[in-house]
Formats: sequence, structure tokens, C-alpha cells
Amino acid sequence: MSKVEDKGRLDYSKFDNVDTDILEALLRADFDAPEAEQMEPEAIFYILDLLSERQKDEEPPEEFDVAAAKAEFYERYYTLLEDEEKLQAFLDDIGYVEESKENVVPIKPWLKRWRRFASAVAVLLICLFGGTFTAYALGYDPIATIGRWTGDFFWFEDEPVTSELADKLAEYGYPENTVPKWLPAGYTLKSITEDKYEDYIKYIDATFVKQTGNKTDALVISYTMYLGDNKKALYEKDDENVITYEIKNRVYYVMTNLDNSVIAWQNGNFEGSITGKFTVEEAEKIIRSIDGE
Amino acid sequence: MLERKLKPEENGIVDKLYWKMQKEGALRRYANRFVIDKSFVDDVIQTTFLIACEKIEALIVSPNREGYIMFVLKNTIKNFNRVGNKIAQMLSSVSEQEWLENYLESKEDEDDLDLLYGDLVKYKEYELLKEFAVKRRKIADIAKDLGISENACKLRIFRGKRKLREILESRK
Repeated sequence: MSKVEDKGRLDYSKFDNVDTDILEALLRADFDAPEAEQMEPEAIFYILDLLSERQKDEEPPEEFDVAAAKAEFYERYYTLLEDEEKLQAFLDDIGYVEESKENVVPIKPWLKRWRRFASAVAVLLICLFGGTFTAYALGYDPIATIGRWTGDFFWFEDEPVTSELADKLAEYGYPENTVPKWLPAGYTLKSITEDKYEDYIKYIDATFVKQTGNKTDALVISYTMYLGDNKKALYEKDDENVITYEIKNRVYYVMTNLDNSVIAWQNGNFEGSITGKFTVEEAEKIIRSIDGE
Repeated sequence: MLERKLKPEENGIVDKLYWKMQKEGALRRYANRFVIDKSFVDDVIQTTFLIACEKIEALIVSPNREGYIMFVLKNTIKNFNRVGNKIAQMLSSVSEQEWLENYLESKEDEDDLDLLYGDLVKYKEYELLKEFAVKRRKIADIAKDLGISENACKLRIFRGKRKLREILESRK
């Protein structure tokens, strides 16, 4: 019997015995997933109710005045429907982007079955690795693979070591073709830091490390956003020539500074750089992985 | 009952959905999880229903109307979460100098009852936009520092975003 009173919905009791952290992680994964890979809304509502039931002792339900909210809706929002210009201005303010409405047309039964299967597999995958629940709930995928599926197939893909950096940059609206998907073997993410210099430069730096015996090599990927001033970073280099690569109308510069190599490029409003110990051949491979080659 | 733009039967559907879903609280619990700046949670939910009204035909034909509202909610949350990013991108193209040179007083400024800064408003708005979009401070904290309400803070941010957009479009 489901712990949450059945409100005429499909049976999602498979979630009843799943840890709270896992359920929160499922909601997060669903929120971040592309539209075609999202859970059925009923599953989301079920999980939300389940979590609310579990958490009601720790966090008493918030008193919410529905009548007041509705009154405000009529006064401030519904009136926009009567003025196309004001409505459009409001939608522009929030940067409203209309997603595809394919999800709301009647869903083919076979697609529904695959989505339920995919949801169940996702839960099973997490449950098989019991010791890593907490890590997963914190956003770290411990097995470094992710499940992907279409209507007909399901498979696992290795997740790039730079995926967390890509997620961080996505929060700031950086385009997808920003982060290299390949680094020389053995590097793992050590830290991601954000900083600013006065009020016109914002940095995001990711440090990757590789342990070889007693030696630790570091590779740093940096992104710098300039806020309207013309100040630009300077890179130190030795006497060796600068090598340039042009890929999809973007120029990448590879230079050396004694033991280290540096890749630098500009993309619109920001500048990217990668500094570490890698060969020219590895530099080219890193560069080609930025734009999905 | 919602009356104006919608037909009576459409009014009834949205009205019922609004009351039921707000009472059950699932939308609010979901929004509280994923809206980055919690000051926007109420705005997100109200905007969700506004968009549902605006797309009333899609809502009516949907075999799962509550599911449609959840779909719109997710999308609305993502849009609101991106506001800071978009402002940050625009700020990287519009220097403070250009902002000051192109800042035009508008009728909105006359109507702003929280206008505390007088001649300094254009300087302060650029700073406010940076606080929100670049330093990623929460609206509640910025409003507290400035001694204004959260609503006034949000209004200034959206007004500033519009002005940035106007400056960028004037370059074309």
C-alpha cells in the first residue's frame, strides 16, 4: 500500500522506500534533463507529496493564503492579458523562451512505457551503489557514467571529467561549446573557484590534478568575463612561437612558458585559457573537444 | 472567477486548477527547490498561471492539465533563473560609461514611488544590476542594504534590464 494516499494517480509506490536524498536527486536530475527525458508529471507530484509527508515533522507546512495569492494574480498578472504590449514587455523582462509543446500532446503508450522504464532504471542504478547515495544527492555522479535513452535504446555514456565545470558555466549562461570534453588521461577535478577583480572582471577557475607516483601535475581551466572595460589578461610565454588553430571561426592560440603550455581563446564576452603540462598534440585534441569534434 | 479574457468555461477550468494546485502546495514546494533566488518564488507561480491563461488552448486540449501546469512551471523557473545570466552578459557589453551616457529618464521613473536616489538613480541602478547579476547577491539582501522593499528591488532590476536592452539595440 502506498504511503501517500492514492489520489487516483498511477501507482508510484516504488518510490516509497527510496531514501529522501535519492528522491531529491531524482527531482534535480529531472529538472536538469532535456525535455524528452523528463519524468511524467504524476511521478513528480508523487515524489513531492512523499517528501512533504516525510518532512512535515521537521518542517511544519507553511501557512499560505491562497485567497490573497489569487487576488494578487488578478490585480498584477491577469490584467496583462488585456494589453498585448505590456504582456510582451513582461515576458521579455523574464526572458521568456517558449519550449516545445510536444510534451503536452497525448503521449504514445510505448513512449510512456519507456519513460517509466528509464525512471525505474535510474532509481535501480542508484540503489545498486548504496554507499554512494549521499555523494549522488550532492550532485556528484559516483560512477562517472550517465544513462541516456531514446525511444528505442538505453545506454551508458562516460561523463566528461569537465562536466561539473560545464554545469557551473551553464549557470552563468556560457554557451555549450565552451568547455573541453577531453583532457589528458589521469586528471580529476580538484576544485572550482569563482572570484572577481574589483568590479569589472569575474573569474571561474577549475583545477584538475593528476598523481604520478610522488608527483602531482595540475591543469587549470580559467574563464574570465569582462564587464565592459577594455582591460585584458596578459599571458607569460617563452621564445617559442605561438601556434594558432582556427576551428569553426574561432581562433585558439597555443604557447609555451618553460614547462607549461597554455591554450587561450576568446568567445564573445569572455576569455578562456587552459594551463598545464601537455604536448602540442594533446593541446590540439583538447581544442577540438571544445566544439564537439 | 477569472472573467476578463477567458471564456466562461475556460475561466472555470483555470480557476479550479489555480485553487486546487495552490492549496495542495506542490507547485510551491517544487519552486522552492529550484528557483535560485527565493524572492522570485511567488512571481514564478503567478507567471506560470499567467502563461497558462495566455496559452489557454494548449491547456484546454492537454490530456493532463495539472501536468501541463508543471511543464509550464519548470520552464518559468528556468527563465527566471536565467535573468541574472542575461543581465551579466549584457553588462559585459555595456560599460558604466556607456550606461551613463545613454540613460534616458522615462515615465516609469516618475511613477516609481521608491525612487530614493534622485540624480544618482542611474549610477545606483548600474551598481544594483552588478550586485544581482555579477556578484550573485540575493534580492532580499540587496533590498535590505538599500533600504527598499524586495518588490521595489525586483522592479529596478527588470527596469535596468530593459534599459540595457535598449542601449544594445540602439547600436544596431
